Amino acid sequence: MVLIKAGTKEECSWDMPDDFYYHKKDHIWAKVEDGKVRMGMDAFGQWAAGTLAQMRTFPVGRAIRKDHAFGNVESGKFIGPMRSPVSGTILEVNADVVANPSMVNDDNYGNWVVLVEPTDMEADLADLPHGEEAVRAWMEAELEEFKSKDLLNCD
Amino acid sequence: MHGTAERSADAAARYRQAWDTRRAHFGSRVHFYAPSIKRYETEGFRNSRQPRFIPVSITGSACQLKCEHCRSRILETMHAARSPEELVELGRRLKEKGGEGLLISGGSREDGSVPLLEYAGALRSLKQLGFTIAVHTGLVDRELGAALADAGIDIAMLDILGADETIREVYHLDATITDFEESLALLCQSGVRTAPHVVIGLHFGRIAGELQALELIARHDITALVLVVLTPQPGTPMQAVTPPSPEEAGEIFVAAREMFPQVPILLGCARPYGDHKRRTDELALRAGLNGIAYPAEGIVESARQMGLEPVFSEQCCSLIYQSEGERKNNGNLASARHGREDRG
Repeated sequence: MVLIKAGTKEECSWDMPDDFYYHKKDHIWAKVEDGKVRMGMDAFGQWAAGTLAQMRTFPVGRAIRKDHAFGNVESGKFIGPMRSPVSGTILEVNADVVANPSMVNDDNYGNWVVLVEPTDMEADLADLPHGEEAVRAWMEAELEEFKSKDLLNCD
Repeated sequence: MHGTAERSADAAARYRQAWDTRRAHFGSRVHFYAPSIKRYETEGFRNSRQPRFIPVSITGSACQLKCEHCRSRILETMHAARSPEELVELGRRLKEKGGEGLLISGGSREDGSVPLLEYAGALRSLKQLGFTIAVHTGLVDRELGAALADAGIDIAMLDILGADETIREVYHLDATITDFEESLALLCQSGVRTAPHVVIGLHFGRIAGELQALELIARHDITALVLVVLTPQPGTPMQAVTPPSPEEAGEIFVAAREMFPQVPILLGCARPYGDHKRRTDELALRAGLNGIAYPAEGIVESARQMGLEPVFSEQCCSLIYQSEGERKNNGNLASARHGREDRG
């Protein structure tokens, strides 16, 4: 687990499992399970979006592409897509989370969003942050970008 | 069934009339807005990840009214600047980062006013830095109206309520609709451009006073009218309230277009999410509204299919006059307006 912190506020502290992969732009985590990929929103992503009020995903059976949306979310601070870290086919959708998306804010790693049968997993995951060093480097750069735009209110 | 069919035909006729009114007075441009209050990305439109138009609360998350629908939740998402000096410093910092406009907001005192008077000098400084300034004023007295005019703010925004019971039960405020009208009048008389807001369904999801609010507003020389729909906020007493349906909101859209044929009408930031939003936005287009903030996925394309020409902006929708020109309620261009210097 990589613990990322910013500023002095207690809320500005995010756990990022180092055995997961991450879609950098939308903060979507990907966990490999028996050749399948489970996905959800990472700790920083759900923090930056605030309490999620609405979520949609494509249905089970739909083919999805790496870097393209498999769904979208709305909150008081964010309206936008959830882009997939891998290409593949949606095997399962977590209907509880779609019905109550603020569950992601309560437990963003336990409350996954979709399970995917990947088509080219190794290639798709190859360029994503994974492991302590890569995750920390990516998140430090991300925090710098948020700070530079005055979007990180942590002091 | 016959009654339902008649109502449906009547509604269709009113939407057609509203649409014709819009086309007659405004042509084909429709405005879409995505200020930096939210990060926003749909297929048709996205905002930059730069802080262009930024919300700031001069009270942080503090508010003495604790309204039933908000409980300060809206303020919590804003930058905080709790003194005039802090506000100017924040402005300087945001300017360096590409900031162009500020939405100045804040919690209310128990009398419904926002402590803006001491910030008049800071607002003037922010104008000198080149910011476009929109202000949520709360209830206003003559002194504050004059101070805002003198500061040269670009638009004043004030929720107008049309039912005393809503003011009492939702705002917990010992005031009447007359007090709200007086504030609007004072702002207009001071020469401040105004974009009053009407929250559809504010009375615990019921339509109660919205038409009265529109009638009240129509007596004044406003720059734009902003309609929003109650969005139940988690953590507030209204979190489980059922908001008005898109069709109920649509009836207010049509009524507003009838009452304000030549004033730009916007569907503002707030409305329920998901399918509700998509339907509400479609009805807003059909009712001939001039612009939509954070349009639902697919709405930009719908507008094109209706023959409208989308115009995109990262400003606050209340500032539509800066691209659409100004009109008085009776349709004269505002260059003929008395007693107002264009502070551009």
